[in-house]
Amino acid sequence: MRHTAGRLNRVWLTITGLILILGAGITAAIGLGLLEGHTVAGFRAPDRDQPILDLPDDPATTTTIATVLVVAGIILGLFCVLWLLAQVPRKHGASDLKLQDPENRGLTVMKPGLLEDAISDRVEELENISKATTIIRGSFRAPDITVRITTTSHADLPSVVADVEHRIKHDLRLTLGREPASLGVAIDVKDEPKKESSVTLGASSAHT
Amino acid sequence: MSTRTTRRSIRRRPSRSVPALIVALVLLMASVAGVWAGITALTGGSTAAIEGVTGAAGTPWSSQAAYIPSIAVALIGVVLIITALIPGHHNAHLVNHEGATEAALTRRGLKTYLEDHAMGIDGVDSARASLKGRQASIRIGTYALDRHEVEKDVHQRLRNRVDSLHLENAPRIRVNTSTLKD
Repeated sequence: MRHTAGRLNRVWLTITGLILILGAGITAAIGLGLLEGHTVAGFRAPDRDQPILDLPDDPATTTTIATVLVVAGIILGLFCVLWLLAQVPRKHGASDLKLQDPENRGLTVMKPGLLEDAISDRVEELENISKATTIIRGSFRAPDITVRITTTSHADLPSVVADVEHRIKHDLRLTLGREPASLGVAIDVKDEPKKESSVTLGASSAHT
Repeated sequence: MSTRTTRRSIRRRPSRSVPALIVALVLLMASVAGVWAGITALTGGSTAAIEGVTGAAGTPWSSQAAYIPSIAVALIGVVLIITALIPGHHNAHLVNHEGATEAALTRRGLKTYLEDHAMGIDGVDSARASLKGRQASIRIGTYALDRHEVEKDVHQRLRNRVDSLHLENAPRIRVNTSTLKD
């Protein structure tokens, strides 16, 4: 139900992978002498016996390398922290719902949490549903509702979905005067604890 | 004129959080080490790390120390790209029903559903379901002597149960039976 950074992860994994392949591939190709004598965009590939970088051993070089390390490290580190923070699943719920009367005379502001709790409570009243969690996204004008319900394995799922849909649409029509712009129902199944006194009959044995 | 954007589906493909966490942490550790080495050198401390960088940069391209690690790094790059490009399975199966609502049964829910129904069948003493792609495998354990009959019964009934769910791309049912001993 909560949004995760799937697309961001895939894009950055691809970019990181491409950088590694290009950098390491070119290094390996030069080292194996595959690019000897080749010129690409005006750059002549170095000979394989040349050092990778010919750095003079003096204090100025040490200072330059240290500065580059600090600057590059800070920039890369910041990107990594942001990437790590993006892994936290986000609700992306609606901000306050603003209910305006048709003649623009008044405005009622409602916390979406109130409506989410109310919908969850009403859905939990339905048969075969033991738990419901609701998230409202979007606006009062076009509410996008996602409900996660927990049902039992003996429930008829299509009819449970129909009940949930009917209950939510009916309730919203009564309270907000409109139906949800879209509705999603995620169904989870929890196994029923078997009691010593309970008897389970299969469909075929029930007919006999 | 108003345009309407479509809602995000309630079922998701894997978000690749684990590889992203690993790569981000490795890069973060490398950048912290770089910053630490740089600051130490700039503040008059040890320059050993900088000398290490200078020494590594002076390695010839043809040195094994240069191109063998490069091949390993390139392979890691290939693995990252493959990880990013393989879409992975959705975490839920869409339920076909009358109505505009998008409904989906989670894979965990389907697993519980299959295990619970398998346990309700005569002769089944243990049941464990696993979902792989479009196949649901149910491993059942039985003390019954006619284990092949039990297996057939489980297969038939679970297939009927899955059909009754009206899932889009319903998984195929596969049953493995083992005889339990004490």
